[in-house]
Amino acid sequence: MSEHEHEQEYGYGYEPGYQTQDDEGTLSSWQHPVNVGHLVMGIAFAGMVLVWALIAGDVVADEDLRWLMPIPWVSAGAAGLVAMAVGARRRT
Amino acid sequence: MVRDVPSQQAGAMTTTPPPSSADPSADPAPEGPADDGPRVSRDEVRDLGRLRRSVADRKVAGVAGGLARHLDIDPIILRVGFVVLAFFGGAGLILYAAGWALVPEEGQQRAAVHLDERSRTIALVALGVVAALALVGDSWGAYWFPWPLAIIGLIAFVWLSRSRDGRQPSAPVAPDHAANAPEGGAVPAPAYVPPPRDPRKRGPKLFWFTLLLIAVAEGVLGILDGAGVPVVDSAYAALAVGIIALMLLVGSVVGRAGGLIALGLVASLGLAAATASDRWEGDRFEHHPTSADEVQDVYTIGNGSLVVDLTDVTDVEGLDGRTVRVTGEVGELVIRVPEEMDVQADVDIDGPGGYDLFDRHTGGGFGSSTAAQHDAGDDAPSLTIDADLELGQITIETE
Repeated sequence: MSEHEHEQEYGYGYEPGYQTQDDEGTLSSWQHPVNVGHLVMGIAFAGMVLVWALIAGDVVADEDLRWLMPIPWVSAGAAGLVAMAVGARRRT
Repeated sequence: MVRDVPSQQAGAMTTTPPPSSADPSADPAPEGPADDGPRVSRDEVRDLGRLRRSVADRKVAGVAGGLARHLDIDPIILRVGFVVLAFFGGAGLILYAAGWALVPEEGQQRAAVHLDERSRTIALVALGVVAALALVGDSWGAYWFPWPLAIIGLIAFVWLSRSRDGRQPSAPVAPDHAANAPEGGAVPAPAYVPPPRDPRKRGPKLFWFTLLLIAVAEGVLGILDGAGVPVVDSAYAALAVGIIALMLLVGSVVGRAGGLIALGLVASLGLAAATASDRWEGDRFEHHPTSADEVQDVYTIGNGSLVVDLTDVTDVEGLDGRTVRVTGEVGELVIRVPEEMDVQADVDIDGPGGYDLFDRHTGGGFGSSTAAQHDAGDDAPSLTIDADLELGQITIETE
């Protein structure tokens, strides 16, 4: 498996395996660096459901979709950037 | 694998040295083209009987991983291809499901739907054609047509079909150095050996859990729906997307959420379609002008049903010589005209659809364009109806 695929599977900064080192250098079996890809798409999908709820509940008008639809993606992208920045800071 | 052979030969030589060992030049070198790396020939690519789903390199069922190894390309290309094609008539899903059901895992001889090699190859090609048809069918009515993909698929089909007669035997050929094997020391023919399975569990564990969770949640929602709780159709898709989003967020921290992004993209597409259907499918606009002045030159609708009823117009002479244009995207156009008028109807349906003009001129198909007339007599005022629809039914009738 190529390095790129590892990156796809585990996210940026992930050491393949289920045990990772924490700040003290000890291993823990449940702590994982955040998988940025999954985080981004999770937020994007959650945002879509939120937009759907607003539309289906007639909280907003149909015309508001024009500015509502990009919001999940903007939020997901911002969260992904933050996660990457935090991950990079922790590694250094 | 190749390196094992000389060691066996060397071990045998210690007991029964063959006469040829005295002549070093007669000892063939065991090194072959294996060091050049795995490259597949055209015949190997066409031999779909060798195709196996990957065990070590898999996101969902190993179809892309196995196919990538078969074609000797990067599996990410195929994974992206499957996901993208899933949005075009579900072609990617059809292909993936076909691989999942028909192709055995590596190390296995039986698939979920077991067929012999020849039947499996035919079935895979047939399902590939079905996927291509789904891809093309989904594009009907759109403004573009994926001719390149259609042509590539057609070429691949012809190539696979044509080459069956000239196919080389797929059985492995014994190596040259087998002739020098010592008596009783059988040299195993090189055969495909799958890479050792990674002992670490890293499959998409959350994928199956999420599928089960969605199934249970959809069932509960269906029960509520059946019990009389008002549930819009799009709520089912929204529930699935919501669960996938939740599990992706969980998986981003605990890991092993592979496959959920693709699943979420498909569910999101369903959510968009269901929401659009909920919000706009039922749109129905009717226009009943009562005078010539109230008749507009153009009536338009996006998706839905549009009725333009001109039979209530009292001064039909005022419509003499006019052209009324009625257009829509997907749905139904119904135009009713006064019987005492001459009507020239020009109808154009870009995609699949049908027309019924004056109860006499009916037809349909893909890309229909026709014209019909209603004659009310020599002195009758004339009206031209220009109806245009992307997909659906156009009806023009007199009353």
